[in-house]
Amino acid sequence: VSTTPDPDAPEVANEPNTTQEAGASDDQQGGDWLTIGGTVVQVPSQETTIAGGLAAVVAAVTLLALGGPVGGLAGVAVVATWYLIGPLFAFALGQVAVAAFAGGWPLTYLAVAEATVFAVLLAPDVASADRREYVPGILAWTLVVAATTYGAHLAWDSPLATAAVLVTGVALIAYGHHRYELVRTSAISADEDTLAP
Amino acid sequence: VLFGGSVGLAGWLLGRQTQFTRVATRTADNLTVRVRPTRESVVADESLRVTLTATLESPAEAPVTVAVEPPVGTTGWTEDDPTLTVPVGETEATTAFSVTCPVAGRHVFDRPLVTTEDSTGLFRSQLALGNTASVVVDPKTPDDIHVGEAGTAVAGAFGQHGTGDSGPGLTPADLREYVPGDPADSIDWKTTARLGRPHVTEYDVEVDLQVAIVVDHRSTMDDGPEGRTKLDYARQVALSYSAAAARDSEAVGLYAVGDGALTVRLPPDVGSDHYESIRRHLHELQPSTAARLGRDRYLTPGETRRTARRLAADDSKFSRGLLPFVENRDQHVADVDDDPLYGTVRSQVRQLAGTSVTVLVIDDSHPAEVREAVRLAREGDDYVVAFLLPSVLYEPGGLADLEAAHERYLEFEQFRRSLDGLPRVSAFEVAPEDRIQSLLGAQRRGTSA
Repeated sequence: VSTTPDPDAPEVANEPNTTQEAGASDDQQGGDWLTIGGTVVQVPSQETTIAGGLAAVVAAVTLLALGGPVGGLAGVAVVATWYLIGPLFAFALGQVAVAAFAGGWPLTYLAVAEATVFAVLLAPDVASADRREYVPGILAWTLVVAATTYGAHLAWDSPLATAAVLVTGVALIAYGHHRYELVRTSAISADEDTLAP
Repeated sequence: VLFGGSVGLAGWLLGRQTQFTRVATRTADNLTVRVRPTRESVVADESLRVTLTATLESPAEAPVTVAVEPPVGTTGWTEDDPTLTVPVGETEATTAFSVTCPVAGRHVFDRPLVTTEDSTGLFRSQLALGNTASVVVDPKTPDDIHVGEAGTAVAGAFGQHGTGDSGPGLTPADLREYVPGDPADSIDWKTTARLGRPHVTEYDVEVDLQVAIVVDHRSTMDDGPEGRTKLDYARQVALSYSAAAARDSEAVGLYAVGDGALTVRLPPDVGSDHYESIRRHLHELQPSTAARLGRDRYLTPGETRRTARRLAADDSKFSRGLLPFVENRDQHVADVDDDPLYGTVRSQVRQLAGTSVTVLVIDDSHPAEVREAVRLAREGDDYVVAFLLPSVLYEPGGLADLEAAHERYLEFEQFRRSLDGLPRVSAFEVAPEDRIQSLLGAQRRGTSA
């Protein structure tokens, strides 16, 4: 697997509808170009980066190693989902797969599996120079949410209460962000709850 | 395990959202959006080019889409996309699109809608940013109006309305010796004391001149290609006359005559609202479409009198048989009242008698009626300005046969002169410059050859 910066490589000259699109939307979609076995393919979106692909493959191998052949099948599904739909859905599928096979796993295995699946989500940001600054924020919020969830678990020892704290907390923070953005961009004024003209 | 996944997902979402919020607010702070129509006013149905520019102080961190919603009442913008995108890393983007405005009036482009979206498509921020822009769309108007007499253009006879009379007023005009019968309060005592004999001061007469503009918009005014019909020319003349009168702060009124009815009645008044109302009504005038069946068959009192005289002079059986139909001319005056132009002058304009100028903007389709209306309007000491539109110069194909066209034009010119010859009446022709020049030019060439 190697990358080529030129979307008009000879290999794709026979596919007119992809070459035209690639030139026009390269900056916005940001999809990288992969040369796999002599064929140039464009990955679907800016999120579907090579680093993300590698992370998905690593997650698939981990699932194969820890979950056996069925785990390996789940790993292939994760990679396919990553390619066809995107990292977010690959991450969700990976989580379901880990949960399905983690019955008798020691904590170390679990941590490694979780880390590789989480890497699928995080890889596009880590790999991109423009978006590397996202990573500390993501890790910081992950720590905050993890600490809060663990605190809730210690306080009530009830999965329902913990889930409620997790969901409510995330919803409140997200809504706070949204309101802050509206006020900050003057879409609404700070002292009244109406849309600015 | 699922909690672990949820925590990771939540952390990732919140991290992404934090970052997106920062990008969106920075973009909103740095972005300048301008919508600029290339012209401030266009004529209806004319295409207008509008430029949309988005400039960022620093390179875009996420794709920024700027979209303009063209005003309701404009068309044609679907072909060009009134949207632009500033790609990541760029600082500027410009696009231009064309809109066509078939509806006259003031059209406002709202502030453009700026959309920022993150690469996952999970977060999107939308806000209106930049300026609003407006464009004034004027109705199609002719731009080659000829106002003149027998093909020669005349300068506008608007504005100065000296009466030449003296009497009671404010501005002193003359001193003269007292004659018996002068009112005692007109005696100028200072002058009387200085000169030893009683003197009176006379003043310039000050009158509030009232201008009544009567515009014909009957179906005959629809002659001519679109945008260059008789009514379009008549409208321009009435507009400029009312604008000139408004500049002099004169009381102006507007009466529009449609088929069979008075359609606009704005008695003379002053004030910018009133002037604006006249302007708007003039712009809204459309040729009326009422049936014209038999309209032109009525005889006016003058025609009736002439016919009666002719028939009375002739002793044939035919004349004797017809005479009773025209003898009773009161009956025919009542018939003429059915003619809206004459009726309007009689019932509306005559109410202003004494200090009025009646401005008639009419075509030559109803010459008898026009003549009677002019005669009625100038009764007393009132003035009449008639702007006449010769049909031959408006009808499509009217100039196809130049010989016949010239005959018709001469007929019109005779009619115009007959009005112009009346005391206190000025009559002008209003025609498309190019057509009257080509008609008279061809005739001159024909004569010289």
